[in-house]
Amino acid sequence: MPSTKAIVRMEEDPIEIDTGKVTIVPGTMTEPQCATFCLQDEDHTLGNAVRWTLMKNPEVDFASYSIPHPSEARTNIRVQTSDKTTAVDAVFKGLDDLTDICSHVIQSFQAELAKGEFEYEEETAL
Amino acid sequence: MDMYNNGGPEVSIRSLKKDSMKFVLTNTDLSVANALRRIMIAEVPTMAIDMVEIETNSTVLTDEFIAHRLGMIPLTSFDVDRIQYTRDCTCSHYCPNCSVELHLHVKVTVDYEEMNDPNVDKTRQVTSMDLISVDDSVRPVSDDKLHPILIVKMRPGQELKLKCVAKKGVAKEHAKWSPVYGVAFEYDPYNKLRHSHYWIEEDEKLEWGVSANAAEETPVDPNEPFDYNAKPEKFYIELETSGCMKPEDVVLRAMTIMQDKLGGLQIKLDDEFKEDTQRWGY
Ligand SMILES: [Zn+2]
Repeated sequence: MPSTKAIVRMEEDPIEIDTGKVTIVPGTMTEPQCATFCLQDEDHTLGNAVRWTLMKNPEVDFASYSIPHPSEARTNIRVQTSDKTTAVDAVFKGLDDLTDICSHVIQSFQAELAKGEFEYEEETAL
Repeated sequence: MDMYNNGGPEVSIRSLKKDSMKFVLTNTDLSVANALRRIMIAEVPTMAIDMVEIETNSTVLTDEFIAHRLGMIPLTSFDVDRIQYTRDCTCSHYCPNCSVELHLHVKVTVDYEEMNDPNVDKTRQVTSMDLISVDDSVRPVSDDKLHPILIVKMRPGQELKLKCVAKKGVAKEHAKWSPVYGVAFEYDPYNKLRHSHYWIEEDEKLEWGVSANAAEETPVDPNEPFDYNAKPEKFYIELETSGCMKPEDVVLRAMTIMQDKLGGLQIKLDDEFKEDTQRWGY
């Protein structure tokens, strides 16, 4: 599975973080407000969810995703925005919003676990 | 939480067991709920046997048959974060940082007196309990002695000796790495949104009925016009693990994996394209 690495410098030792592979499909960015992004090694899991958060943004005029070929592990995301922002910024914000949603699910899930108001079965002998 | 979706997703846990759980996810989109389902199935890393070196095999099963069966045995993966993927490791083949070795050696001795006694069962069942792991945190799930997983049956005189190398992986690559045996995912049990088209002989209600989750929703009024703006709201999710991880950890891990993916994309986007658009004067 190909992946690229970025070295993030922090106070302590540098940590390697897996960065996704994103490119802009050549010729699709005719102006900053529109672009088709190509995400390597991503599929419906991210494509559809990112498409949804993009469409939630009022500055986004158009957002969609497609998987051009089933045997190539890549997903295209098309974005067109109003003049108030750019396609790159809109996608950046879309990813940010989805990250917040994930954090919210985690928080809500952990709060529910802590509350413990559910049917529970004690661990059997192992 | 972000402004768009009034307060963000909510989780309500219905039941939690040793290797399964049920919960309801509300106030989010189908795409997010589906992403969670897809990551739990295919992208949460676990440990599974990936290489088998067979030294002796005089059983009735071929080497590759046994290797395949070994691969399917779930291994406890509570500590999987400690282990690296081999492709990211500095070693050339495999090492303790990216793998765990398991050994198996069974030799069935011949007892000539017993051999001729039809009342003695001479079959030796080789199970997951015969697999000896060098690392106690990664061992066959079924070592509870009551329900070990059968690998091969042997008769007196036969021998099986092998070394397994378990590696970290995800089910996107091979289903043996999936932490879940199944994820049930349902929304709109009354099919108000008409996302399902039921195949019927004569009567839909009679032939299909409604699921248990329908108890939480209001039944359809046949006179009500179809609401084409309606969206799915409540997602009933149920998962059963292979025992390799706790079910609640599978869910939490899935969400952090999603965040890691998004974070990685953001770094890349920031690095490469922010300047691109700035060139246009933005
Ligand atoms: Zn290694």
